[in-house]
Amino acid sequence: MNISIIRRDNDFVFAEWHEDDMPVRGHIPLNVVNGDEVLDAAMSLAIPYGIDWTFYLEGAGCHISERVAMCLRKANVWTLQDVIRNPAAVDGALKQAYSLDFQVIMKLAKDSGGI
Amino acid sequence: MADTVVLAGEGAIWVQPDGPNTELMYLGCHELGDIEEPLGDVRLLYCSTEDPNRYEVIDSLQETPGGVTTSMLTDVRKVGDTMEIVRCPVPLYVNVVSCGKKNVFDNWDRSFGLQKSWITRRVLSRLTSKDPETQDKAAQTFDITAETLQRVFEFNVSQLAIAETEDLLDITFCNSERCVGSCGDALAACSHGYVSGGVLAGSPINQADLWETETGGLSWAIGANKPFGAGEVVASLVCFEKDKNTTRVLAARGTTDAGNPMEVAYTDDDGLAWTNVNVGSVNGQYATGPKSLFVLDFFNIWLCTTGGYIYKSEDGGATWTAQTSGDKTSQDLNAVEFFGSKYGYAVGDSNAILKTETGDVWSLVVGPTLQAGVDINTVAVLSRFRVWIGYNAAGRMYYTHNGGTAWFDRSHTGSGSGAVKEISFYDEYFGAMLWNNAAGAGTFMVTINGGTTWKSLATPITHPNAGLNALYICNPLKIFVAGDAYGGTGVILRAVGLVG
Repeated sequence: MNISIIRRDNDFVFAEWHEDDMPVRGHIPLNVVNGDEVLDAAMSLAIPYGIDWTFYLEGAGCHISERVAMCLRKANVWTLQDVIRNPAAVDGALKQAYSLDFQVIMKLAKDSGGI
Repeated sequence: MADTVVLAGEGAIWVQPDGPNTELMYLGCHELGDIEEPLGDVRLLYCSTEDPNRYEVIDSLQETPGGVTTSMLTDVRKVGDTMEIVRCPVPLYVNVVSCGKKNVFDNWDRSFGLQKSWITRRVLSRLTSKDPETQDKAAQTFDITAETLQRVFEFNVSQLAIAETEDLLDITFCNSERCVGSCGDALAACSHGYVSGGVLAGSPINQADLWETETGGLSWAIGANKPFGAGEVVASLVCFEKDKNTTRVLAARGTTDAGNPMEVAYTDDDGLAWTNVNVGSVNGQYATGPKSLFVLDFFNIWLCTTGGYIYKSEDGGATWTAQTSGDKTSQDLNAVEFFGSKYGYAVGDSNAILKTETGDVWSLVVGPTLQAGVDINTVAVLSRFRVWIGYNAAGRMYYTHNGGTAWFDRSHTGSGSGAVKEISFYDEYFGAMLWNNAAGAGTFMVTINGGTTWKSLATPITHPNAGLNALYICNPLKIFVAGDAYGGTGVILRAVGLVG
């Protein structure tokens, strides 16, 4: 697994990587990090960082939770405190997530000859 | 009655050559001499009277006692004896075993722990003889001086009555033992305490109660007012002296409030009036377990919360400062405990372990590899280096003797399933833990040897329950446990060493 190290924190590195296309951050024990590589088996040792937006939004009844979660993270919104600190980023992420729906609907409409 | 008398042949001697929570060795063919436990001479304090050359006793004090002394006798065999290679102060135990094998440690009816036993002299006898009349077994004697003698009696566990119908989430006691004197009447340890109740599920108006006892748990009275709002439970409860006339009770909210940050409440009048305090500014934060609060004294109180936050109060809970802000880990932190004011550990979800050696700067510690991703419920900090943690899955508990560099699994009767809910120690030797099985029913265990072995005092069979949540060790002769509602009321168990 390729990781991007954000900073070193004593016996850990704080790093970001991707699972499918989802950005993920966590603290990984230094002794399993080799440059910017970590064996897949050792990734279970990472202590996840940030809110699990998917779980969070599904609980709130949001049906496009995975996409919103991805956009939130790509907008650097990782914690509830990030939400309070940067509401504009949340707003942008939500617009981006929902704009995908809008584009899909528009394409469907065009493909069906409705316009 | 014959079964009330201890016979010398029932005594089993054990030693831990490498200290508490290490391998126990049974010393079969060994004998201990008298154990002398000086408690300190009494010195009378005089004052002169109006009559010449006459004095009256105005007070008395007990002087500093010396160490506990004994001697151990054994044969000289062709192979060396364990005691011959002991170089460091070690724990020795004399267990009284009336039923079962003497070489099974936890078969004790009662136990005498000689803590930090130093060998002060070794004597070899009858190594040679010059004629048949003096021929005998060669023997060796070890003179021993120990720091203290810890007496542990057989425990009697009983369920105490309380009218609370909801789960009981935490239990705490406020007083230490007191002799009759200028400070008041004699008071047993853990006479005055509190237990916190949950709330009725689904009720929009039900508030968590605080119950108080002044009778060592024999009776409980509901507090006049509630610390928190409707639907909000008290996850963690501590009490401490504010001044010589005032005991402060501090409670942490254990339910999220989307519109408000973490909240604590304190009372200085046994729950008549509560002062509510917001902690930090992150809405939705809350405390998750009975060890979310740790109090050393009025000036040193720590609180851990969801989202990886640790706060400290230096004014009895009135104001709080964040020491970590989700920066070290964003995992929920479930328990925090300190040894002194500098050495502390906080543990949480997904195997997150934080430690400080300064009392304020925290860093992540690599936890046991096999427990990656597993939530940690509880922590017990015995010293800078000796720490125990209990997991929410597979009933695992781990310890470290080197400040978290290496962790070791300690098995118990429940290892493999369920959750370790709480671990607490009274000192390096005496500890207690709660394990809830996969069905949620709890077992209550103690150790008297630092954690090498754990003995069940109450099980779901002997004391039916729906889950045990919190424990409080008064001393090695008295422990309280709080648990979920079962049979119509919350469960309080009390274990006391049998006397009489």
